[in-house]
Amino acid sequence: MLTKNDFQIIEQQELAHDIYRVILHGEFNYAGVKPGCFVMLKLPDEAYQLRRPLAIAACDSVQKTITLIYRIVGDGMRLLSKLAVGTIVNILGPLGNGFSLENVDVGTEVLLVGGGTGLPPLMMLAQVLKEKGCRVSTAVGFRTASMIFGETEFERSGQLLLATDDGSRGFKGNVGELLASQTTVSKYTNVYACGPEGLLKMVQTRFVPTETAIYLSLEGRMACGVGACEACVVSTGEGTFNKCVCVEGPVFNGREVIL
Amino acid sequence: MRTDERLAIELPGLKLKNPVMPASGCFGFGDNRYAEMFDLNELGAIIIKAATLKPRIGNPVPRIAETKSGVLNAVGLQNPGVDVILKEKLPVLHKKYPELPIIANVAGATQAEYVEVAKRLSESGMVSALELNISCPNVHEGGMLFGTDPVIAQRLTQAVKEVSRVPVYVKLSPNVTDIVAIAQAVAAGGADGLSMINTLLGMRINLKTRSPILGNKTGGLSGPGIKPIAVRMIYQVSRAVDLPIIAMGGIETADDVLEMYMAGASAVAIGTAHFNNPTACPDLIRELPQKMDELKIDSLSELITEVRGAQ
Ligand SMILES: Cc1cc2nc3c(=O)[nH]c(=O)nc-3n(C[C@H](O)[C@H](O)[C@H](O)COP(=O)(O)OP(=O)(O)OC[C@H]3O[C@@H](n4cnc5c(N)ncnc54)[C@H](O)[C@@H]3O)c2cc1C
Ligand SMILES: Cc1cc2nc3c(=O)[nH]c(=O)nc-3n(C[C@H](O)[C@H](O)[C@H](O)COP(=O)(O)O)c2cc1C
Ligand code: FES
Repeated sequence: MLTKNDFQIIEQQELAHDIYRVILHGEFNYAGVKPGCFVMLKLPDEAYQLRRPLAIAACDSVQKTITLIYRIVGDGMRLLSKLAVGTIVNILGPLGNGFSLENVDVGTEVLLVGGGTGLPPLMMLAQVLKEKGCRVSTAVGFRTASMIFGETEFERSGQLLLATDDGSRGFKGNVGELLASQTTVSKYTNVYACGPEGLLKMVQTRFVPTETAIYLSLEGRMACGVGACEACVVSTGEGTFNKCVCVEGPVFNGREVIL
Repeated sequence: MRTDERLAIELPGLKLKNPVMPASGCFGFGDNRYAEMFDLNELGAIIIKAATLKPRIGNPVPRIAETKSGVLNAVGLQNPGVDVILKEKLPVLHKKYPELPIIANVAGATQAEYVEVAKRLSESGMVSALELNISCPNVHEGGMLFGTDPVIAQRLTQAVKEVSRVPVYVKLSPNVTDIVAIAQAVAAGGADGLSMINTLLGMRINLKTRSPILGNKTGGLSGPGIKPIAVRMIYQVSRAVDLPIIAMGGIETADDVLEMYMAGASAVAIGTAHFNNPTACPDLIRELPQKMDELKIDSLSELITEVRGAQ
């Protein structure tokens, strides 16, 4: 069931430089939420004609809350960051297919790879995989130390490898270089990635030749979020734009999707 | 939902319980998750996405960019082609909502292509009317070219009328100096009605990359920002041409709907408003009677007579 319901902001906090976490209270189909699902948030200003897609970073069906973590990119996210506790915003969701959890079990080795605002969906995924008894490793990259968030969440779920572009914390370089620098290479059953296109391509290059199942969560410019407008298309076959990120994604098989 | 007789209207090929329908390209073939949010039977009709003879893969991404009070899109008429639409898309829609009038949007690169697609869709028995899209700004051949030259527009309308078994509404482009001349030309070509307006050609530039945001560079502007242009054009055309008009362009509220009627419209289509409000159509259908009470409007068909009769 898809709904557009009013949610109330019950917490709004700056987690790191230009990174905010907002917790919203309201009704929707909590049972339908999987890690990797997203919502489309309507900005409370009539000048904005498009809702903003944001991944669900955490959700609590008992307290009836969802957590979104976002970076100030443009006017929309800036407006969101200025909304006070108590403000009502409209949420369309839950949307998207979410990450596949079919082939995971107790002891399954999984790797999560993320960069910047690709981390929120991986935070929920890490927790769910941990609850399933998987051995979770996470490799994340940030531009610089002041932008780091999510450390405690990922450390709670398993091993965390951290890189910053400028070396101000952790490994100096990007996540690809971080993974390449590892001397002991585990045999992962699954790799899950979300982040900039370069990061996703790196994951493809690194894992396509292996046996590891690859799940990539993509971003797309969206208008409807429900498969009606074909704005958000990607290709899983040469010369086509045959899939909509909003309904057939945002998670795709990394061996099929053409970036 | 209770059908309010005050909202009922009759147009060539279309007996509508209310005048509200999703606009082409903003509601797919009804095969999307909007259908989880309300019963499509509530709609007056549905205008499905453009059909072309061969499948079209559409334009590169990004296909959408926001502007203040508007949206630029350059989807580029992506569709699976008329064969798949006839075999897979239309039957599903028609079977699921047998009472819902379907208007099929027809596009092409050549006149022969338009004629072929129109013929096959109209013979399917599943569509109540055609909407001839001579106004898409997002394709490089055909599309808007057919809608900016009165002679070509008239010839195309005539050719499609000759083969179509259902009434033909011609969708006009606002990207012209004199929309009345085009409207008169398609009327002379035998059009049964008009749809207006399609999107206005626009562009946005990304300051960081210093290049256009859209993959196609240019796109079509829609949304509340274009409503005054639609109102003006519908007003001008309705006074010069005796054809019913399906109005579109930035409609979001019951007030907007009635403004279109007062400009000369007979029905309305909703596009961009869905993106912020997925239940825009049923919401409008519910709000209209109340607004009509406030404004002392007995019925929409009377309002049409009042506005257009006074020409
Ligand atoms: C499925 C999905 C999940 C996402 N999850 C998150 C998340 O958890 N945290 C987070 O910080 N960001 C996330 N994003 C990106 C987020 O949607 C954009 O950063 C946001 O829309 C920017 O809005 P703005 O008004 O601040 O920026 P502007 O650049 O002013 O926005 C202009 C338009 O472009 C769109 N846009 C701009 N950047 C992006 C982008 N990267 N992806 C998609 N659309 C974009 C906006 O939605 C808007 O329509 C996600 C995107 C998708 C598709
Ligand atoms: C994403 C998108 C796709 C569209 N695709 C089509 C199309 O395939 N055929 C067509 O005739 N018009 C298409 N249009 C134009 C709309 O049908 C409508 O004429 C226009 O958007 C103005 O109405 P609005 O302001 O309510 O959106 C599209 C518009 C949008 C926003
Ligand atoms: S955003 Fe409209 S189809 Fe995906």
